[in-house]
Amino acid sequence: MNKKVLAVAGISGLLMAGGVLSASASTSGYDLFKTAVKKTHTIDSFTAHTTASLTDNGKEIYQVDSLNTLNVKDESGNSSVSVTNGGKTTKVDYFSKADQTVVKSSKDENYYVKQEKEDKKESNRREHKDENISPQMQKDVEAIFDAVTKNYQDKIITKNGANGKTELELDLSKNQIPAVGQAVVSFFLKNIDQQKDHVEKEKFGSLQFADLKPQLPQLKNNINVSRVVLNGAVDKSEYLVGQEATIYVSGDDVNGTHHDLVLKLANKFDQLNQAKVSSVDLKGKKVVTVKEKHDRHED
Amino acid sequence: MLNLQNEWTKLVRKKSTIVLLCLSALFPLLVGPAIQMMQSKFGFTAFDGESFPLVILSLAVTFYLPLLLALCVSDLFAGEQEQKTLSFLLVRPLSRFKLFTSKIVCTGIYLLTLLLVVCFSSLITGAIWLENFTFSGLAVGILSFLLSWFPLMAMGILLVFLAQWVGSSSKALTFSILLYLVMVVLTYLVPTIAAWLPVYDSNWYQRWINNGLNVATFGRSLYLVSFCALFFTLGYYKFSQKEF
Repeated sequence: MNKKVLAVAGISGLLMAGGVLSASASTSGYDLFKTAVKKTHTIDSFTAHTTASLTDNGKEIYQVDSLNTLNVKDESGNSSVSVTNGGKTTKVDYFSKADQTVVKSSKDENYYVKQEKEDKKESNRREHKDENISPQMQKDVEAIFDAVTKNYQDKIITKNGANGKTELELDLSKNQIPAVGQAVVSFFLKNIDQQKDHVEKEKFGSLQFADLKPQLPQLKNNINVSRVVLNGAVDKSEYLVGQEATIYVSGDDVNGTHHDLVLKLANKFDQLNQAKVSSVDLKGKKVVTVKEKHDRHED
Repeated sequence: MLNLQNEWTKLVRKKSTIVLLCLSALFPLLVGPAIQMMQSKFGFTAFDGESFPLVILSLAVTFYLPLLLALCVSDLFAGEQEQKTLSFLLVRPLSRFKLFTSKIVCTGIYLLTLLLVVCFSSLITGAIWLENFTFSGLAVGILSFLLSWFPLMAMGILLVFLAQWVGSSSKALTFSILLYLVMVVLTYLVPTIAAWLPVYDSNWYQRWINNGLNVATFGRSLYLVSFCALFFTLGYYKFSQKEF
């Protein structure tokens, strides 16, 4: 091979290496996110403060605020949820152990108790075992996730926050949101009236939650997701302690009125591996036992 | 450029080239109304006039254009060798370097033509059939199509290099398609190798839309240009040493 060819091949090979390495060196925010997600998966117990709100043309129509404590190991947890729907607030408390679920709503004085059946407990446990995926599979999933998100990884901005936390932000405008995401959101919003049939089934014994569903405006035309902002906070020991997603959707309803919907979901983890689940004392309380219905839906 | 005219004429006089160009133009024009019908029937808005060209582009760069590129390269190099017409060119007073370059430039122009045909027909479809067609969307669309030329061309030059080792166009085409499929699978399964393959950048217009010019996009551009230079040199070396 003559010298010229070797020289060109050598130089372009070096430049190629430089290009690839400099491009991959700049994805530190994404790498931090990945380590944090993996690490947060190993937590045994935590408290989570989850909030969700939905505003329509600047007016808040729905708000959920919940404080949850969960112990993954013995499958126990309690949570208190308050839902503000159209100005009316309802508070619901849940207490759950491996074999029992207790629900208390602010609407009445009853404590609704549901005992889990033995065979169901067994199947739950089996399902839990299946969830533990092998390290090889986890690696493959990670590789596919890397490939799918490759064009978004450099878009993540990192900032140093208070208490040694690192804040991550991904802000996508309309043209940057993948078409699949657009399709799913608009499909969901446009067909929301057909989902009303399922609402009636959402009850716990005689306790009904139908009025806790948000009344969304019926969007018909020009539905699109105009912006998505994702935020995350990673603490000193690389746990993902805060997540926040803000989704902006705009569209016209049947009457041609324009709606700008903003959905905001936020979650904060605290007391990692130290959370204590509180249980409920049913002595002297009005207890309603809820029987499981034996229809096919249960399976 | 010497011999470029000649190569171009040979390419566009082929019936298959003309048919494929027409198909490329028809595809978005047919898909547009079909999507519009589906969207109003099932009630979702996956694409509006703004994003439709980008969706067509992402389909084109992953499935359609690499195939057409492989077909063109295997015809220009291995095909001519097989039909024994390359010897007529070689006896003309032209250096092998000029011959090799003119064939690659011809491939590049063909690719650009294909991209522009798909681009304009999808823009027209978006403007006619779909709601929310904007000028910023038009600009983003055209720029994305032009940007997609680079990774596809890098792929094309790699295929040219490969074609030097094969004596028949059908073999060259088969190997090219196989190689392409292997590379696509590798990008999803082995992330360490993925960044070294030109397929990794096939939808890099999304990266440009997201980031503009930054370290990452600059790094990938540098990679693509040097990848082209490397395989152009190696391909030319093989071509110049070859006996026909």
